[in-house]
Amino acid sequence: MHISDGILSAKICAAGYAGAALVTGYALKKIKNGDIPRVSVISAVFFISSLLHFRVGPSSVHLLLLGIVGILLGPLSPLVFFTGLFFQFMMFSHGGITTLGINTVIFSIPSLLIYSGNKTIFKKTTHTVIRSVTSGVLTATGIFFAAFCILLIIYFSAKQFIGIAFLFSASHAVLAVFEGAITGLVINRILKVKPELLAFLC
Amino acid sequence: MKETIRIADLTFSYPTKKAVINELSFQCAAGEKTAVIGANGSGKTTLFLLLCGILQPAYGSIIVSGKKITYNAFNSQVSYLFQSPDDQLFCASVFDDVAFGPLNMNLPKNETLKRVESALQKTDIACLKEKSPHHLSGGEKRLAAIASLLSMSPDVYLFDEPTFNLDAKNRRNIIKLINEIDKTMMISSHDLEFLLEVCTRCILISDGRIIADGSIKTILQNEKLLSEHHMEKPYSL
Amino acid sequence: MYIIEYIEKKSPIHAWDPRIKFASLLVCIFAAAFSASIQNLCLILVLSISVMVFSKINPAYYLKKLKHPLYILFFILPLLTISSGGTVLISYGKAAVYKEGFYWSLIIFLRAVSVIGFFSSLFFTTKYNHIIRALESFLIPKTIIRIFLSTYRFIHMFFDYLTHTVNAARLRGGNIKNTLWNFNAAIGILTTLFIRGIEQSETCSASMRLRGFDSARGANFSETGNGSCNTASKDTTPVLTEFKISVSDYVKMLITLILLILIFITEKL
Repeated sequence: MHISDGILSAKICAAGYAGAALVTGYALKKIKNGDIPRVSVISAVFFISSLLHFRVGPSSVHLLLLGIVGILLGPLSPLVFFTGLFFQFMMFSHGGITTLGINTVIFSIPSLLIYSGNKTIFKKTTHTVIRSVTSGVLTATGIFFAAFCILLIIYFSAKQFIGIAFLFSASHAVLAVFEGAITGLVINRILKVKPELLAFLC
Repeated sequence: MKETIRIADLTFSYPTKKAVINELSFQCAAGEKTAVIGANGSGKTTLFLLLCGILQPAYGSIIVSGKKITYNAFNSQVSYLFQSPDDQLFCASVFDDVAFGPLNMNLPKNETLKRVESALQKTDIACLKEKSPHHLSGGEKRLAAIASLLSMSPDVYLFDEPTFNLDAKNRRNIIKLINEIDKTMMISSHDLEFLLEVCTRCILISDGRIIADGSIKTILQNEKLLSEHHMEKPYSL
Repeated sequence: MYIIEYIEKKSPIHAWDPRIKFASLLVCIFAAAFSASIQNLCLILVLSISVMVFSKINPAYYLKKLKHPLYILFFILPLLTISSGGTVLISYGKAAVYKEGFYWSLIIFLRAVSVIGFFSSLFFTTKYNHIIRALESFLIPKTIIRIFLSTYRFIHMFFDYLTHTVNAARLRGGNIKNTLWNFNAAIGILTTLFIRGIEQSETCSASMRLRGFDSARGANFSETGNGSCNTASKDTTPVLTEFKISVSDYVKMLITLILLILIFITEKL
C-alpha cells in the first residue's frame, strides 16, 4: 500500500509531510520514555512482518498490520509506521522517501480509527469473540478506507495514474478481507494467551 | 569487612506463584564474590531482580552500599547482567551500548570516554566497538554486555548465568575477567566448576529460602545436599 | 537476513561529512522525484550514477538495491502505457500503447532509479548510526532518533527469530504452498512475534532503566558539545559521536548543488 517516489506532486508530498508531522507530533506528546523500547520492537516486528509473504491461491500477499499495530499501541502507532516505512525504504527501496510523509498518514489515520473503535467495543464488552470479530471487521474497514484514500490522493495529484490506482485499490480490497480475518484471530489469541497486553484498551 | 549488601526478611510472590522469595536475609561483605545456586525455579533470578530494583518486594529491605534499593528507579550502586545478552544490548553499536550507562550518570564527556575505553580494554573487545551487536557472536555479545556494566563502575555486580552457552575459550575469558574485578559480586550459575574458580562463598536457595550459606568448597562437597536440590557434585571435587 | 549495509571503502563520498552528505543527497532526491522533464531526469540520472561511481562501490550492490523496485516498475509501467493518455502510438485490436502513458512510464522509471541511486549511495557510504545521528541536525525529535536506533537493533534480532520459527515449522511438515497452512502459520507466527516482541521490549526497558535511562536528568553531547546537562530534554539520548566538517565537505556540497542548478537552467534555455 506504499506509494513510491516519483508518482505524486511536490504539493501533495509536502502536505503528506505536514500530515505526518501532525500525527507523529500527537504520538510524541503521548509517548513516555519507557514506551520507547515497545515502539521500537513493534516497529521492528512491523518491518519484519512486511517481509512475510503468504500464499493465497495463485498469488501471495504481505500484511499491512494496520489493525494489530493500532490495537497494540494505540496513539503511538504513527511512530511505528513512520519508523517502519523509513526502514522499508532504506533497506529494500520499498515505498519512497519523498512519499514517506503521505505513506505514514495513510497508515496512521486508519490505524488510529481502528484503535478508537476497538477501545469503544472493549469497554462495552468482555466477550473475547465479540472483541476479536470487531477487531477484524474494523481492520478490514480501515484498509478499505486507506485504499480509498490512496485513490483520492492519486486523483488529485496524478490523474494519469488513476487506472493503475483503481487496480491497486481493488487488490487491496481482497487483502482487506484476508488481513481482517488474520487480525481478528491474532487478537483472539492474544486475548487468550496474554490479555494484559490489551488491558489499556479497557 | 564493611557490608556492601544487606538484605532483611525479603519476601516476594508472583501473581501465579506464592512466596518465590520467602523471608530471605543475608549480608555480603565488600569485595566478596558469592555464588547463588539452586534448582530451576528456586528463585535465583527473582532475587537478583529484587536486588537491582526491577521487582518490588512485598516485604523486607535491601540496602546496597548504605543506600536503600528503590523499586523502578536508577540504583547506580548495583548492576545486573541479564541471562540473555540480547536483553541488554539495544544500541546501534557496541561503543554506544557501553557508553549508555555513564552518559545517563551525568558524567563529564572525558570521564565517560575514559570509562568506555577502559571497559572495552578489560573485556578485550576494543576492536569490536564500532560493530553492531547483531554482528557479534554469542561470546562477544556476553563480553559487550559485561563491558556495558563495567563502564558504570557500580559497587555490586549481579551476574545471571554469565557462562551460559559459551564455548571453553569464551568461558575462560569470563573467568579471567571476573577474577580481575575487585568488587562485590553475586553470581548465579548452574556451572559449578566455574563458580568454584571465581567465588569464595556460596548460598544455596530452594523455594525462596536459604538452605545453606558458607564456603563454596564446603557446600559443593556435600553430595547429599546437592542431589536433594537437583545438582551434582563438581567433578574437580 | 542479509541486508546490504555500509560498505567500507576509501572514497570522496565515504569521507563526506554525514550531515552535509545527507542534506546534499536529499536535495538531489527531491529534485529527481519532482522533475517532470525527461531531459532533466536523464541528467539527474547521470549525476546519480556519478555519485555511485565516486563511491567506488561495486555496481552489483546498487543493482541489488534496484531489484525490488524494478520488479514492481516492470509490472506497473506497461500497465500505465496501455491505460493512460489519448494519443495512440501503437494499437493492436482494442489494446493500445499511448504516447502520454509511455512518457509518464519513462518519467517514473528515471525518477525511481535516480532516487534509489542517491539514497543507496548515502546508505552504502555511511554507517547506519551516523545516518541517524545526522538526522538530529535536521530537527528530528530525539525520541524518534532513539526509536530509529533501537529498531535497527531489534530488526535483526526478530528476523533471526522469525527464520528459526519458520524453519522449525517446515521441519515439522509445514507446507508453505498450502493456503490454509499459510493462514494458520500467519496467525501463529504473528501472535508469537508480537507477544515475544513486547516481552522483549519490557526486558529492554528494564535494562535501560538499570542503566539510568528515564532518569530526570541526562547529558546530551550533540546539543551542548561539552557534556553539560540538559534538563529540558524529555529523552536523554546518550550521544558521543562527533562529526567534524571540513572545507572539502562544503566543496562537495557546492559542486552537487551547482550541477543540479545547471541541470534546471539548461532546461529553461
